[in-house]
Amino acid sequence: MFFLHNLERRVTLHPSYFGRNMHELVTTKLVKDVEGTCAGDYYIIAIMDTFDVSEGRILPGSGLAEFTVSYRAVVWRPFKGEVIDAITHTVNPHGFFAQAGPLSLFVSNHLIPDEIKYDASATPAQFTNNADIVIEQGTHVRVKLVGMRTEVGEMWAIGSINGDFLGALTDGRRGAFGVYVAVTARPGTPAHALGRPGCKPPLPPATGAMPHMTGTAGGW
Amino acid sequence: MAAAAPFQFAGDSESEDDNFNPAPADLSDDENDASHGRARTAGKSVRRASPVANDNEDDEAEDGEPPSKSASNRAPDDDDEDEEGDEEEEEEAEGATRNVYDDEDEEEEEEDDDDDDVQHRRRRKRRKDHRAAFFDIEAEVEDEDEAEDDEKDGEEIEDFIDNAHPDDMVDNGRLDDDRRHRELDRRRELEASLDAEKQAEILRERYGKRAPARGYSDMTIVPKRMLLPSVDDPGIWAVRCKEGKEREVVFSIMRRVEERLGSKNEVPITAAFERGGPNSVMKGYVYIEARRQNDIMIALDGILNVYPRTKMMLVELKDMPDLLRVAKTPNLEPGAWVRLKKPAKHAGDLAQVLDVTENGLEARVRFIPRLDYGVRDEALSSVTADGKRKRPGMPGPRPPQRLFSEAEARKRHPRHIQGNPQTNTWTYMGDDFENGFQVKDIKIQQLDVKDVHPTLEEVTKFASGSEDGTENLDLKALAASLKDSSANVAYVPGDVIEVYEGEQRGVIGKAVNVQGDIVTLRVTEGDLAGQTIEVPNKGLRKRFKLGDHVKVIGGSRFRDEVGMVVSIVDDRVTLLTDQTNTEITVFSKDLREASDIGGQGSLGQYSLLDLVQLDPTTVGCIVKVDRESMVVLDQNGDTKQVMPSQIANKLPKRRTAVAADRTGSEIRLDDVVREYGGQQRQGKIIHIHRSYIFLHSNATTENAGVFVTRASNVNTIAAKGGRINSTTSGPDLSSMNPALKRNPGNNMQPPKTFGPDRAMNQTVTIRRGGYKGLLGVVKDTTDTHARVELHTKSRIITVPKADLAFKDKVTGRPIDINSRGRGGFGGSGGRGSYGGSNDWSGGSRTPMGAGGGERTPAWGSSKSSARTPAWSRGGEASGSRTPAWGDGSRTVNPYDGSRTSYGGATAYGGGARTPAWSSGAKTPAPDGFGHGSKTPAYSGHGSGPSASHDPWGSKTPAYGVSAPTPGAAPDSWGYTPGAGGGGGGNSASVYDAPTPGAGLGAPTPAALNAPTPGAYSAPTPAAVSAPTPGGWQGGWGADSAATPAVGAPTPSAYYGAPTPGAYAAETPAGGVIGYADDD
Repeated sequence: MFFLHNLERRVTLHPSYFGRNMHELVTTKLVKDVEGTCAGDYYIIAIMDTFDVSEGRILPGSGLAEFTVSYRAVVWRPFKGEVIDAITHTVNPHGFFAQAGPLSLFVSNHLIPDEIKYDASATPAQFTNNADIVIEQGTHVRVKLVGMRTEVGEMWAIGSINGDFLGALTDGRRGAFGVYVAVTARPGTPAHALGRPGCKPPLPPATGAMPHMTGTAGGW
Repeated sequence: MAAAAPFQFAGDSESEDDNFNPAPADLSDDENDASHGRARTAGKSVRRASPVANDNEDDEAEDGEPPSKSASNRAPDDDDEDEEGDEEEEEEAEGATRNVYDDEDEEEEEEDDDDDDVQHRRRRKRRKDHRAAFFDIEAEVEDEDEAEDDEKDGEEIEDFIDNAHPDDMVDNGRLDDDRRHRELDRRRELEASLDAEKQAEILRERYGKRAPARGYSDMTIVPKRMLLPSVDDPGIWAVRCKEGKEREVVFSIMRRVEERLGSKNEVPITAAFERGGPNSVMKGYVYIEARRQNDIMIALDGILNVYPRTKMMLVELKDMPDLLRVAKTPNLEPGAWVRLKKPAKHAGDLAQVLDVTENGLEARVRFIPRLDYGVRDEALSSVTADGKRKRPGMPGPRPPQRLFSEAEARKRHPRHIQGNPQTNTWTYMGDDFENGFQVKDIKIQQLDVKDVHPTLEEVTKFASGSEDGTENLDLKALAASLKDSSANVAYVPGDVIEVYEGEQRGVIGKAVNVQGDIVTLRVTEGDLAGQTIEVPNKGLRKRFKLGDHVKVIGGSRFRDEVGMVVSIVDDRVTLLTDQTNTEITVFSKDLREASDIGGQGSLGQYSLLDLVQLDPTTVGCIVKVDRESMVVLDQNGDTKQVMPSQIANKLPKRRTAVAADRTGSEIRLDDVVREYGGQQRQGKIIHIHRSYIFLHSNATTENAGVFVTRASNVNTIAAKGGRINSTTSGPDLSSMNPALKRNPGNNMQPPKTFGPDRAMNQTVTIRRGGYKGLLGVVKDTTDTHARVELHTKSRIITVPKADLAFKDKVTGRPIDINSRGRGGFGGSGGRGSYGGSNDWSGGSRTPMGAGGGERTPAWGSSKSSARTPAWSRGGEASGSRTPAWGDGSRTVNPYDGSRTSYGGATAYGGGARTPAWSSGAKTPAPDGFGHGSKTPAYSGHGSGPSASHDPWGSKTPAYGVSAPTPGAAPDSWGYTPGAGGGGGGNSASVYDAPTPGAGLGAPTPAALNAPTPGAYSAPTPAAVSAPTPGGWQGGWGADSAATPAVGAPTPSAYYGAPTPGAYAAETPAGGVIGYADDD
């Protein structure tokens, strides 16, 4: 789920940069450091603005100045039980791995409906019910998260497609819902691609640059 | 039935009541029988015949008197009381014999009680009263108290106040009677309205309570220690019998007792029992209790399998209670796992119980045979060299476990095998084999039943034995045996537990306390939520939910794996491990909720994905960490299992490690690359070691996704974001602003020198170590060390070069051997003047040094600033040391013009390497205040100090040649040599010329001028202005007539000149020689 979250961070600046545009530099540094990172149990997708940059305080010993910056950021926190769209990237006999933006997730064989079986003979290997459903590398799937593991700088989830409306997204549905584009959220990613408000995204269907936000965006 | 009599009079209703529900009476009788059976120790039959019973009968006789007294005392009572008294009398009379005939008595009482529940209490009290009346005055007092109770009861009905004298009881009783009748009627109505089930429940409640209460009171009367045997009790003898026949013997004795009961020759023993059993130490004995040893002889005479004539052992008094102590015996069930102890060949092997014989002594087990099919027969049976037969009991190493193979057996012992191929049962060498397993009856003593701990591997061997190859591993059976083996499943407070067995089945709660094997649960779900219940841990299992993050604990081989639950079936939990993303199935008892941040697997200091040194030539990446070992993927792509002790050390991750990929572009850690050719695997670089790179990929789980390849075999897919973006996203704001840095990138090493080591034959002093201060001569060198022949002792020692200080042979002054004529010492690389642009890209940096700009490039450390590059050391006669000319052997590789500034004979002519390599402090070109006076090409304007003082161009040696110094253009001051020269009248030459430095403003002119300027310098000022320097110099430079440039066409001018050295004689050398004299 996406949230608008007020955060704070300390940014240090080398004395050689002291000058008129210090705040600008601090903001630049903040964006560089923070955007696209995983902060425990959520990802910081984009920084909207900094609304408070404190006075710099010289750190004894190093001479660096430390600024406490309060900023607003769009964060994405996946929840247990949340339904998200992801893109399959690896299929193996035990299940398949998928990527929902920055989040890697695994859907185990046990959490795939019984009629969808692993087919090793297909190239690339796939899960299929021998009818309309085929999950192979690159397939868009809708998954429900059943387990989350958070580590410093990393998140990892286990998903299930055992349920109504879960599983491979057929072309028709994909068209209807848009596509979850992998938001790598690197610095330099266009703001609109990160859902930064105020930046009009190019309208979806063709490229689908706008991430499909599952659930309601909480803190807007 | 005597007991029924007193109630008959009480009214029909009473008797009806009696009939109304006779069942509970029986029921309670049973209960009482049972409880008495428990309460009394030995069996009745034995007891009766025992002398103990006779003792009791004696007591009985003593007790005999009181009843008659009581009867007389009670005479005055009226009918009611009398009747009861009679009954009591009877009871009392019997009372003495109660010890023996208690049961009958109890039955009577029972019936009384059943007849009237309410009356029961009172009657008991009263009975007590009566007895008490005879014995004790205090009992009277007590009686009154009780009477008061009665009184109160009475008050409820009417104000009946009276003392509680027994005589008044009549009235009391009558009143009660009425009341009770009414009550009874009421109750009967009520009961009639209830359904049978509820009635049964009520009755059970009513009578169920009573039995234990009564048993309890019986028990509390006799202190336990009084029950212990004493010297007055009969002794117990242990009598030998046939092992395994203990029970039969006891049964025979019992039969004999029954047969002879009441006859003249009763069996004179009081008890017989056995404590046999496969694992018992008391097997092979029966224990007989008797007064005399001879009695036992009589009793056991002629009974089979028991040997009273062998030595009998009298059991000591203190050991007697122990004989009856019950130890729980493990019971073997078909399917259970055991370990073999006995056939030495199979000691320790796992076996599965197929069947247990009826006497419980032997079990039929199956196990995997260890057969050598006679391969070693000859060796074993053969006679050793010294003519003795080998000892048969020494089979040597035992053959490995393998399923029975008919073919192999037939090879050597075709006669010893027979059987049925259809059922796959064989008999080979006297052993039975079924489906490849050996089947054997083995005494239970020879089996290890407890703590079997079958590992999954062992069990799978049994499981995979089926014909069709399908796994028929019965996890349930395994679970059972595992559960047995480790009943001590540790539950800790906080565990979420589910009860799956017993009455509380289905209850889910959180453990709040664990004591022994009782777990206290706070129920969290269902109707009981919120309550706390206690349950034995037997029927419990831990409960997990999908997605839980759990850690494997306990005996499983997956111990310490951490993962997330993906599936739960009964008590089998499948989890996906964090480390390797593989699925494993374990029992829920072996799991525990893991802290949210799962630790990466680590073993001691080594953790997953670390790079470790296995031996001097082998490194490996840890791809799996087990409890005691780990699996390492080495640089050759092989995996091996190693112990931590086999690892030499851990290689720290070098963040700065760089390699070149196939196309030569730089790759670093965390870059994503793809193999070229082969499997085209793609991965992120986790380690770079020499030419090998270790990559990690999520696409495979093999080796934890790690694979190794050569750096030259990959293509870069994506370099790490930070590196690429570093230029666009600006500098690192927490370190020095590069724009303000004075010497960026000054960490370049001087180029390697060529030719013989300059240190050779130098006079040196040693600066450090044991030889500190000694003087010597360098005789031989390597890259790092020098062999020095000491002046003092005639010894040659090896010293690190860094520890040497070079001295002048003659003067003894310290010198710098490297400075001399070393090509391009005055390299560029420097930033321009301070006033230069401070763009951080540094693009505009000039090659000219800012700081030490006054030094000429070729300059040594000598204090004589007048020295020109081409110059030899001032003090030295031999000008031959300048690289550009002079002694060819010493030159800086004269054939390699690109490497030497002088070889090219122009400052920048050194081509690629010259000005560029060194710090900016030593630019060939002039600095801000150098005024261009000290350009590299400063030729042999050897006018010495005087010349050096001339700030203006007097030192632009060979200025004509060097006019287009690399740094010329950026020099904001215009004091380039060329400019200087221009000032001298040759400016045109500077600007006309395609001077590399001037024209391009490149950081290092040489870099951009692959062809050395000198080489192309047809239009160089050097060529053009050949005549000028002298003149010019003359103009400015005092009287130094001969500049090298003048002396000859500079070597640079002659592209393709084989060696600058060839011209050397005519070039500056001449001049220099002259100056040398000067100097």
